[in-house]
Amino acid sequence: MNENLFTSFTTPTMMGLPIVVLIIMFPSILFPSPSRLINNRLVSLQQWLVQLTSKQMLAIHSHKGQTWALMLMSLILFIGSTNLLGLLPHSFTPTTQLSMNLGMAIPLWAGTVVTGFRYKTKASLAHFLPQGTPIPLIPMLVIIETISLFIQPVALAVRLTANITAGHLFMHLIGGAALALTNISASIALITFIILILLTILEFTVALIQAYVFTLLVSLYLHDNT
Amino acid sequence: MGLLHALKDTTNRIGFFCKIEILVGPETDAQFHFTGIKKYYKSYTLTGRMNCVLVTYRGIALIVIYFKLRSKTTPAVKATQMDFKVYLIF
Repeated sequence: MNENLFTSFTTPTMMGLPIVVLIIMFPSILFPSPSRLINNRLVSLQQWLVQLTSKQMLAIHSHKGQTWALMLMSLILFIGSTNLLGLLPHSFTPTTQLSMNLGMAIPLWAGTVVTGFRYKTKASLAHFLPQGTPIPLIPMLVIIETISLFIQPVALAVRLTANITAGHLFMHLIGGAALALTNISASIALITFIILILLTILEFTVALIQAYVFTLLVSLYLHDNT
Repeated sequence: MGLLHALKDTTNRIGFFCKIEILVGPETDAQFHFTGIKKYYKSYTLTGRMNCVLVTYRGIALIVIYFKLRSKTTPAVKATQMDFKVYLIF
């Protein structure tokens, strides 16, 4: 069992060729582009969900911030669908790879910071010092705020990676334990199986919540800089 | 008379709260009437905060440059060269 614990996190290959790009592109198949005035049920449901999410998320933004609507909605749909597809048995979840999450977090964060410095230079620089700081504390606080700024993309990526990876590992362990306990004690195996079901339900919610949290934080960084 | 006193007390309290509102509300440079160097280096105004941040970064850059230049011309390097020459003579 131990040697299989981390095999679900290795990048999959088919006949020696990596197919991770195909796996990353796969969720886009599940979101067909609307081609009619009145679409089918799937597209109508997806459109309704996107409108609901975008209204809630973009309400706080100014006109400049709302130009990021397409990016933010694509982000939440991609991460949410990837996380949910990863809950299928024996599937690979791209968001368990820190490289991929850093590849999403760093450009988005850098985009918000550059936008802020370009259009509101004074306010962006003033962000590094909280209002009303006593004079002796100014240098220390500026250094601390600078470090906290540069930690933001790392925290974004690590948060998503850790949550999804930990959830998958835990499910794998509990599932293995439930299987091993069936020969030892049926009642304990049943309790373990119930725990596994509850954990699976939790993982479904975590998959959606982590997508929302990632997008919300990017949206907040954008709001601070626009 | 009691009513007048109560009215005066209420007005003072409203004035006190208004003052707090001005202090903690959205900052605008026009609201603060600092003069001299305090106008540009106070942590209550946007300009002051920006200038404090820039001064801090420049100070850090100067410290880094100072230590980099100092490490290039350290007297310890010259001392080891002298010791090596003395060793060769003996």
